[in-house]
Amino acid sequence: MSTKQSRTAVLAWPALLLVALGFIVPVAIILVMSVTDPQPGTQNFEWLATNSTAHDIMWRTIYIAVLATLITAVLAYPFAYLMATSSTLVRSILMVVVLLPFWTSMMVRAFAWIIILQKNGLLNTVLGAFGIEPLTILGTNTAVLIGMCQILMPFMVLPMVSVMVGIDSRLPLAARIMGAPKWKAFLQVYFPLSLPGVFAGSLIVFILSLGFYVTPALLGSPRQQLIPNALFTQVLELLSWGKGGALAVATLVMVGAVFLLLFLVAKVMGIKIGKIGGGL
Amino acid sequence: MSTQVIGAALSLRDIGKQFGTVTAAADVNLDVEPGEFISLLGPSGSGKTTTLNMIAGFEEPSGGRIMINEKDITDIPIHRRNIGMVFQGYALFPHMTVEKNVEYPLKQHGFDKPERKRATDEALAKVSLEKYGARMPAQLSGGQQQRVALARAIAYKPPLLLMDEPLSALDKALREGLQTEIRRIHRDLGTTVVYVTHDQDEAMALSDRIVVFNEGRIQQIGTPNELYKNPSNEFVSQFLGESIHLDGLIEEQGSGHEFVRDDFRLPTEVDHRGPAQLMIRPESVELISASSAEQSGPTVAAEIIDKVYVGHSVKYMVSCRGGGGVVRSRQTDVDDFTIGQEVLLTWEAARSRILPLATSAKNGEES
Amino acid sequence: MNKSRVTLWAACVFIGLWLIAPTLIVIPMSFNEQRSLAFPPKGFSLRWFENFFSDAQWLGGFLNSVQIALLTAVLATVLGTLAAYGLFKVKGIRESIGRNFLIIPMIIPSVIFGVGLYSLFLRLGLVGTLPGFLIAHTALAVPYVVVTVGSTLAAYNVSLERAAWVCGANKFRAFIGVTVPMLMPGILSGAFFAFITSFDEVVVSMFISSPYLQTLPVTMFAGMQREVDPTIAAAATLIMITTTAAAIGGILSQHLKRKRT
Repeated sequence: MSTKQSRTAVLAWPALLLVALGFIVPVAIILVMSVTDPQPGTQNFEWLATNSTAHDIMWRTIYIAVLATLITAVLAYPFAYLMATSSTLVRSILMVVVLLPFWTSMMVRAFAWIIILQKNGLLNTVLGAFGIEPLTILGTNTAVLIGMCQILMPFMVLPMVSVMVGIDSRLPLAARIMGAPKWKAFLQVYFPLSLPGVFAGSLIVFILSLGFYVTPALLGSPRQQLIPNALFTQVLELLSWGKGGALAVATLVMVGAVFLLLFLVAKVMGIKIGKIGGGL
Repeated sequence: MSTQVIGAALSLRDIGKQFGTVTAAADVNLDVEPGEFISLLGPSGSGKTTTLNMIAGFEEPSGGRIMINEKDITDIPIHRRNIGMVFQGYALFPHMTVEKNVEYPLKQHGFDKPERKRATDEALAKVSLEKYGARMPAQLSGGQQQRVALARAIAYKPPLLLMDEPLSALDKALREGLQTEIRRIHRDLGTTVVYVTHDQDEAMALSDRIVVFNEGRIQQIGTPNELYKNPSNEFVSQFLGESIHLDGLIEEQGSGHEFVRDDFRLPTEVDHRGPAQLMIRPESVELISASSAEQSGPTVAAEIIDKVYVGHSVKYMVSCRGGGGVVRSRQTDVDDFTIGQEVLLTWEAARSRILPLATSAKNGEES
Repeated sequence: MNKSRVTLWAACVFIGLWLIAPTLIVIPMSFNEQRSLAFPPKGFSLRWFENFFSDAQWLGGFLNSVQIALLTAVLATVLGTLAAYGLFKVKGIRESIGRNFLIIPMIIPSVIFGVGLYSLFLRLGLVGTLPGFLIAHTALAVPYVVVTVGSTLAAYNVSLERAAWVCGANKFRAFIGVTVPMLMPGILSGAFFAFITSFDEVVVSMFISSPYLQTLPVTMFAGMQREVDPTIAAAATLIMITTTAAAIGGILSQHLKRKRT
């Protein structure tokens, strides 16, 4: 039995090898460079720990990621709820609404936001028609968040929907007949049961928002860098591979910490987190 | 013993429900006495569940009024109807412990903490689950979950308790045990129960009265005995257990009427002319060999087409001209007949019932 | 429909518009007559598309992108399908380790991957080469194929394959003749998504491209940081049409699966 199995398993080797050599090795190289470049030692982490610009960049990245996660969760929840409680046809249509932009170029979408949010863009043209002063949005964190959340929505909606469709639709009714008004039935029964989806979605969205490069680079300000943009600058412009490596390590530590935190929260709350990657 | 509840009186006045062009229920009129145990019985899609959902408030009736204790509740929101309910498949809150589940309705109805604790314990004791309060529903067996659902529904002693096929997910042995338990709880509590089921044995075993539904309409309302003995139409007679049906005609005969076939005629009270059916329950029929001469009542020639041993009796499937059905022998020792044999069916005329066909509903398909 | 449901619908229509509508603005911008990205565009002309197809930089980027994306789709689909099937057959702990390992490229930020790959490719001389792009893009696209084919496999009735064996087919012929056709919906949508992943990739591509070999998104990114040029809008429109078509293909081929089973 086991020999037969390992023979079929050979089929997985080319892909595993490609990911190992073509993905894991490069990632490992930059991580290792954080302690070897320009010379062996911990100087790059000392820079990370003491440099105020580096601090700003890290805090800003976390701040933006938290905000992006919260905003996306708040917007995705009603959308997912509508999907989960609609007929199959309506659900499929809404699914396409979520999935189409998921596969539409990130670049094109950033570009579209530039046209809309710039000084003489669509938004200010419309506002001007109502006699409202033009707003400066492009080049601010607001623009970055608008663009990021739009891209992140599917990652939040899909895990939420997959949990919500599993909730017995009679449970809120059961609560109602036992005397709970609509909002209580929702808050005490439906909402807690949908939380695993909210957590799974938030986990994915938070991790993804730590790695956004294109959107902040195009919609944000160069003076308000996030980790990925700083990493880019350090390596390609300042040729400081070590500092870039340290930023990479910091990002992966954050990713790991979030995983751990969520795992602990889920454990305490007794929530089973299903296939996290399922939504992808 | 705990305090008794005053059961609510429930009245349905011309209730109907239309889903687009589909009529799920129509002309439903029903009066349930306080403390009565009433079953809504029928095949799936007969309108019984729709009716229950309208009482609960899950569906809005397309027409008609629903009254509890003379008070019109048709437009009252679900949570203020003061009803208890046991759902099909239980609908226990999976994220709450057994205790929290049972406590939930008490909390919603504003009971204070000590009172909640007392009532929760009492309800769990009633279903013998006092030791399971801290468990999660998923850690319980099907039968235990069912009992938690029951405890949750009775915890705040609602004057009206709705039960939607509560036992359908359980196996036969468990089902019978729980039937006894439900009957006992109903007796103890004194609440009015409306019980939906598609299982006629269950309805017979539990109910004070049964409401038989078919194709969205009430077919008959009566005690189990009345329905079995005096079904008002073919659907009711077939749905409530096995029977033999024989086609014939009702003709005027002098001052009265007679049910007429080639092989026998029987006087009847039914004031009607035209096609009719004679219905007999299997245990009322006697099989005698075709040659036998001892005939006290009407006889019909039939052929035995199948034979099944059921516990201490034998079930014969018989076929005769213009009808057929099942005959049950009284003891196993009446095992004299073989498949294919020609026999005579005989019965006491008073045990049979004649149903005019014109007034009977469209032939109900048995589910 | 009651009041809260109407409110919910209204909110969701708004959210749906926010997801889909803004992107469409690039289309009118690409037909602008003037050399400006100001809104609203004025007039109608095809000059920016002409410009796109006559400029060596833009056209070259476009052709490179198409070529790399097609090759990546083929490579990733073959490797990903084999991997999904191999892991499906193994089951147990080794399966879940393998599956999670293959998902890693989806989770690690592409900047980190890009920097590391740049360092590696500098040493190997792969910067600005076709093989370099194929390695990078295939590694990024394989997870999508593994996921889509894996989910089709989860619904696959293994006894079909056994039936083929019993009928005398050897393992290879049973796989090609029975399993692959059954998995076609997953394989096809995996291929479409692999195509998009490569065609749309910009971060890693920026690291490993050279002035001699650039993909379209890289050209576009550079253009956006440099100047106001509606040719970018024309490029954006072309990218959008290509990826949307591929995405619809991907979503539809998944739908195929539902119809068949």
